[in-house]
Amino acid sequence: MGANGSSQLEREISTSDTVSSNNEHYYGLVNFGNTCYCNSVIQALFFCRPFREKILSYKQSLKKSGNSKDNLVTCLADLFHNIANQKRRVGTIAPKRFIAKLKKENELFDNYMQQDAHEFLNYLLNTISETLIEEKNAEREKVARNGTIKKGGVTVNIQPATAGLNRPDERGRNGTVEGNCFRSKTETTWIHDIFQGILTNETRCLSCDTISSKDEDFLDLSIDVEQNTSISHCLRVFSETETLCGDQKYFCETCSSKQEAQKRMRIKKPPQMLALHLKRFKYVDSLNRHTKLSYRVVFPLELRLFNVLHSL
Amino acid sequence: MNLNQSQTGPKRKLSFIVRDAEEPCHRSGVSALQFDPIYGKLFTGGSDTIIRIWSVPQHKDAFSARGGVRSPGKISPVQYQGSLEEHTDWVTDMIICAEGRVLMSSSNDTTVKVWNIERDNRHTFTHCLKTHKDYVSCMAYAPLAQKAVSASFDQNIFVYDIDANFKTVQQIMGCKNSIYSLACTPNLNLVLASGTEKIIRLFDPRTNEKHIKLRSGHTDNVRALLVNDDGTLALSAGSDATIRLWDIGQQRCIATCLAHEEGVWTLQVDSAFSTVYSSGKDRMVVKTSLYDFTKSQLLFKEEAPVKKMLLCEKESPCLWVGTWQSDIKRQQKKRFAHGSPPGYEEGVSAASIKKHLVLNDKRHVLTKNSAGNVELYDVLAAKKVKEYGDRPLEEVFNENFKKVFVPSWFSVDFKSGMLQITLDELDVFASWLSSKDAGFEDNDRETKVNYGGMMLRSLFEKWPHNDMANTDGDGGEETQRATANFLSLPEHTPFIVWWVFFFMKKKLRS
Repeated sequence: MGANGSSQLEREISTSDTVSSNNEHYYGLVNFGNTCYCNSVIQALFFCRPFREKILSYKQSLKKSGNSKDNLVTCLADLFHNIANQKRRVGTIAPKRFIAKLKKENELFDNYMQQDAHEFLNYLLNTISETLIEEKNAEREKVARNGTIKKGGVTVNIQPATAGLNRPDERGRNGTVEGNCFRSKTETTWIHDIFQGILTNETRCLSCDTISSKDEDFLDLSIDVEQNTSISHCLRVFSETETLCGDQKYFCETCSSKQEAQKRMRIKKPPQMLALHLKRFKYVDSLNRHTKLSYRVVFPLELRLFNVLHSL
Repeated sequence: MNLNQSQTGPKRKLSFIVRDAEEPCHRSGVSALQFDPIYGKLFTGGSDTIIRIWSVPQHKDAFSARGGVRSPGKISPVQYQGSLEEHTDWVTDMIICAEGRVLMSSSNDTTVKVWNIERDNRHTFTHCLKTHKDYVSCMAYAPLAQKAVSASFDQNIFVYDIDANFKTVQQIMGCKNSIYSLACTPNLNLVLASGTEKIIRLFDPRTNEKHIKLRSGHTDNVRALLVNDDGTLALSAGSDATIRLWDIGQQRCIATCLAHEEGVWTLQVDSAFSTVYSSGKDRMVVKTSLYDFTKSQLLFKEEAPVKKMLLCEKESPCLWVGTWQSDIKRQQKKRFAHGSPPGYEEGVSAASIKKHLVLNDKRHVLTKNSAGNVELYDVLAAKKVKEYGDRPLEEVFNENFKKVFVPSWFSVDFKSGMLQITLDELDVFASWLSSKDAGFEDNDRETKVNYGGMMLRSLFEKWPHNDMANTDGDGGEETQRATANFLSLPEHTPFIVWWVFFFMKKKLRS
């Protein structure tokens, strides 16, 4: 986008009444050479309120603890903090430190080539959740160590400490104890709270009508796109029934043999924030590579998820 | 026999089934039923690939019952008479034609087979119709036209002329999905077909004109179709748990019955086309009057999902019921009319294999059957060697664990409820091992044995041109030695030779 275009947009945003009513900052991110994949994702995440709030509060907690860590999450937190605390409502900012950190952490992005925004989003979300889990574990270890020290010293203190009812700083500790219980499954963080949903893959044998379903977690949905369609249409195609027939028959456990079956994907639990990945590429046999699909895919301002499994 | 042959052309396979010489009971679900009132014979077919013939005591017994010889209300059970064993996969449907002299059966092995039914029970297999390319799912019979119709997952419908040696006289195309249900009028002026397409297609085989479609009815796979004799009314039922009555003249659904909770798989209607009997996955057998579709009567509930029902109106009216489990039941109309829970068990069912584990020695297979019993089979001998009773499969597996490594050389299949071993030309000779490991007494410790070779030698032992080991020149002696310990198999063991679109099924000795 040219400099003139953004300044035009800037003027519009700064003068618009509806926008000025809230305390929102609209900042452009400087492109360091094909870093649009990163900037677009950061922009989207910045305007994803639950995510931004969590990142900013992470920054706050870092400040409080006086911990001066340097990782991708802290860089992102600094960047968000930077944007949110600008005096002017609009402007540009250079996410220099974040990009530098990203290139250092992952050699996949350590070049000036174009990258896949979806891949970057996946990487970023996974890195954040891994970092959070690590920190949580470190915290827990510290608590455990403290606990044993206390055990050796003042044994009486342990009881109220584990109960952690009165003192506010014990609450965090109590939280980790709770987390411990959940940990037997898979560790979840607020990344999962925001973006994780559950997909269910249903297969019904057409001979015995037995349905076997398998659940899987997702952070985003990858959907195929077609020319001149809408997001709703693409989602409908996503959960369309597929019949396994001919040579592709399904081995049904109940029938102990290969039978025709119908398969479909449904959303069992929608996430708080639904991330959609439009597969804007197609493999072309004649070219032996993927080509980009610059299809027009319209999206409504309000999306109805109709392929949700209703709990009966 | 060359143990190192190169692979060219289609993949060849050889299967054999481990079973008893006579299998008088169904091993798995019963999905096809036919009753011949003239000779009093009941034909049943199902997942175990075997069509069984039962004699149904009738006229005489009925008289004696009236004469007070037999206690009233009691019917004598059917008796196993024989079996027709040519199919290699589930039998899906059957029809009786030519006044009970001919039986036609369709199967998942993609063929339709024709049998001559004789009064003296010396039935003969006469034709194998290989018109379809996928599972043949259903059949229909037009007695006035003397034609038979078959439909398949390959979307095709074929019409056979019974008088002209079962020649395929017509191919009806137009279905766009797998066909699961079929019906026709007695004069074959109308053929109805449906399936996963959900719409019912009506064809007139006399003309090749555009056909009629019955739309906006079922929301899921249509599993059963019926039509009245003059082709004005049709009944359909499907996996969406509804039964629908259609007016063919108006081309619309005129009534819907919602009595079932789960998929309806089978329908029967009385000759007056006034009462419909339905059943399916929810195991409930329901009777509904076609004049009032809102009032249905639950006749009884089966123990397993009902695959097929057959209504017999002659003499003492009754319903034959075939279920997922292998038993066949006769429900007398008189009894269920009074609401008494009947259930006259007819064919005693045999257990079918549900799970399996191949032991480490790649010679024995452990199975768990529908009765929960764990059994040990010796593949090389093609027979059951041990029974463990109702125990966890894994536990018995661990008990029999031997620390040897033998490459696998066969695959296991139990879709028929019986153990079927398949040898594939790609890996049948993979299993070389020392005779010590194989547990054979041998003076020469260096001798290697080959399970696949032994197996093939066992299978072809009784065949006339058994010179396989001699034809091979240099390798002959080695082959001879490697397979010297082969075992003789039970003579009844059926085996199947597969090419890509062709197979034949033979007994070891006919």
